[in-house]
Amino acid sequence: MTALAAHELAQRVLVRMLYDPAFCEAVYADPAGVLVPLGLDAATVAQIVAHDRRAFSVDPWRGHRAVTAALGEAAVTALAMTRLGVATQDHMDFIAGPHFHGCVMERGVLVLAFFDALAEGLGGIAGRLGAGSSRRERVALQVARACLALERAVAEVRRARPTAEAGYLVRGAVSGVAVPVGASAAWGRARAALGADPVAALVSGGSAAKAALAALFGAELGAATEWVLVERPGDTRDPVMSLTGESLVGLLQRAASPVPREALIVFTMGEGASEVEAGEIVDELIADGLLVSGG
Amino acid sequence: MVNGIAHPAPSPVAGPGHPTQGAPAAGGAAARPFSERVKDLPRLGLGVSTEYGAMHAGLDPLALAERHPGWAGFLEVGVEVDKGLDAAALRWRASGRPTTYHFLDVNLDEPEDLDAGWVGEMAGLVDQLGAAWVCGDLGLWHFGVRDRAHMLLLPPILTSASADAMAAGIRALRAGVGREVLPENPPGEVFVGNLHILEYFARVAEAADTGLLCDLAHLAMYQRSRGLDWRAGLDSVPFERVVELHVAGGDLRDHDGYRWVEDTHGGEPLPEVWDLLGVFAERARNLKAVVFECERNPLDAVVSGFAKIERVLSERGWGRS
Repeated sequence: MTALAAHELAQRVLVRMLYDPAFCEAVYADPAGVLVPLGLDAATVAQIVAHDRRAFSVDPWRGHRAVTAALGEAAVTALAMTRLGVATQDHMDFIAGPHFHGCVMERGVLVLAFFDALAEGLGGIAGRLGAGSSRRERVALQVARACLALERAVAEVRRARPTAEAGYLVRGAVSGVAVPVGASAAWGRARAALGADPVAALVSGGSAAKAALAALFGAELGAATEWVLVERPGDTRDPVMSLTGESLVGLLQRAASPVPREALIVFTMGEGASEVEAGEIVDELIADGLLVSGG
Repeated sequence: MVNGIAHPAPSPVAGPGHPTQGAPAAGGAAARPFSERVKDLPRLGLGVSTEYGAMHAGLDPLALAERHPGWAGFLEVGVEVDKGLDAAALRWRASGRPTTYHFLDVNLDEPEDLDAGWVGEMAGLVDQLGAAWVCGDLGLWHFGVRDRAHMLLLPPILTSASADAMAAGIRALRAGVGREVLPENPPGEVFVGNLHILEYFARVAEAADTGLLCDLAHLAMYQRSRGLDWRAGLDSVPFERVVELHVAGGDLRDHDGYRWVEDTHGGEPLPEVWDLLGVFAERARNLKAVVFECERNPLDAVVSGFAKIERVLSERGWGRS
C-alpha cells in the first residue's frame, strides 16, 4: 500500500470504525494498542476516542447497506452457496473481515472485495468437504464457482474505464470467462427468476428464490468448458454476455493490463493466423471496442 | 475471422448546452483573484434543492415556482454522475430557469477521484444544466473507488494538510468543469483534527482562492456535537467569500441515550440556524444565493420555513431576487 498522509489514514480508520462495530469496540477497548500499529499518532488516537462511543453507531445500518449492495451483484453466487450451508445473512460477516477492511485501507472496489471474500469462502468450503463430499455438494460447489466467475466479470466490466499509454493496447469494457458448459445459461435463468430485487428474494427464501434454485440446478453442467464474453457495448451501463471462443478469451486475458500491440499479434499468430491476418484481427477488435488503443 | 478470435454479436444478460446565466468560465479565469471573479457570479436569490427522484417523494420545484416565484429563484440539483439528471431537473432546465450543480460523488482530497473520464462526464452535465456554479460538501462521499449510490459523506479530517489537499482538488475541478467550485461544510457526528470546522473551511477557501457555501444546519449540528456555542468559530469566517447559504431542518434523535441531530432536510430548522442566518445575511456582502433544502417534503410543509427565511433575509437588507 502506498504511504498515506496522516489525514488519509485517519479517515480510513474512521470508516472502519463506523462500519464495523466489532472493530470500533476493539479500538475503544485498547485505543493505542489497535490504532498506533496502524500508523496513527497519539494525538489523533486521543481525538478519536474522545468521542462518545455511541457517536459511531448512530447509523447502525451502514454495513448492512454496503453488503446488500454487493450482494445484489453476487446474487446467484449467494443463491448457489445456500446449497453449501451458507445463509444469505451469513454474508453480513463480510464487514468484520479482512477483505472489507483491506478495501477501505487500500482504496479498493467494494463489490470486488466482496467477490474476493466469496471466493475465499468457497475455497474454505472445498477444503472442509474434501474427498468425503457428496455429489450434491460437489455440484453445488461447481455451480457456485462458475456463478462467481460470471458475476465477478459482470461487476468488473460494469466499472471498467480502460485507458492505455501510446503504443499499448488494453482490453476495453470487456472480459472473458471460462466456465463449465451450461453455466452461463443456468446463471441467466436463475438471475431472471430472482427478479428486480434479488437480495429481497434471497432473504425471503420465497417462491422467487425457490424458482431460481430450480433453474440453477435443473440441468447438470457439462465436463467441457464454455467461453463467455462479457462486454458493455457502446454507451450502455449494463454488461451483456455471449458465448465465444477460447482464443478470444485468451487474447483478452493477455490484455487485462496494457500490452504492446506486437505481443497480441504474436499471440494471434500462435493461434494460426498469418502476420497480416493477425494485424487485421487486432485492428477489428479495436474497431469493435474490445481492445482500446493508447494512440 | 480466423481461429475463433471473433467478436460475436452480444446478447442481453438474462434478468434484469444551454448558456450559463452569465456565469464566467472559471477554469480559464483562474488567474483572476476570487475577489474579482465573484463579481461575475449571478445573484440567484432564494432557491430550492432537488436530488435524483426526490420529486416523487416530495417537492415539485416547478409547482413551487408557480405558487411562490420568489422562493424558487433557482434549483440546486444534487447529482451523481453515474445517475445523471432526472426528469424534474431537465424540465426545470427546459423552462429556462437558473440552476446550480451540487456534486454528490467526489472526494476532492483524492487526486485519483478526479480522473479525466469522470470530470468530462460531470462537465457535460454541468453544461447541460447551464449551472451558474458547482458546489458540494467537502468530505468522503465514498470509500475506495467511486461506485454507484455510495453516498457515504463523512466529514474531512480537520487539519491543515487535509485542507490543502481539498484546495488542490477544488482548483483541479474548477479547471475541469469551467465553473466556480464552492466547498460546503458537511454534516457529521465524528470530527477528528485540531481545527474548528470554520477554521478548516477558511483555510480551504484561501488555499483554493474560492468562495464558500456555508450550510447553516450542518454548522449548527457541528457546534452541538462538539458542545460549542452556536457562535463559536465565526470570527474565522472569511465572510467576503461566502456566496451561498443552506438552510435545512434537522431532527433530534436519541441513540441509546446519545442525543444527536440527523440531517433530515425536514421542514423545521434548529433554532440556532435562524440566528446564524441573520449573522451571515448581515455580514456576507457577496452572498448570491440561499437554498432551503427541503426537497423531500410536501409544499405545504415548507411554506412557513420559506417565509421565515425570506423575512430574516429581508430584515438584514438581503431581499428576494
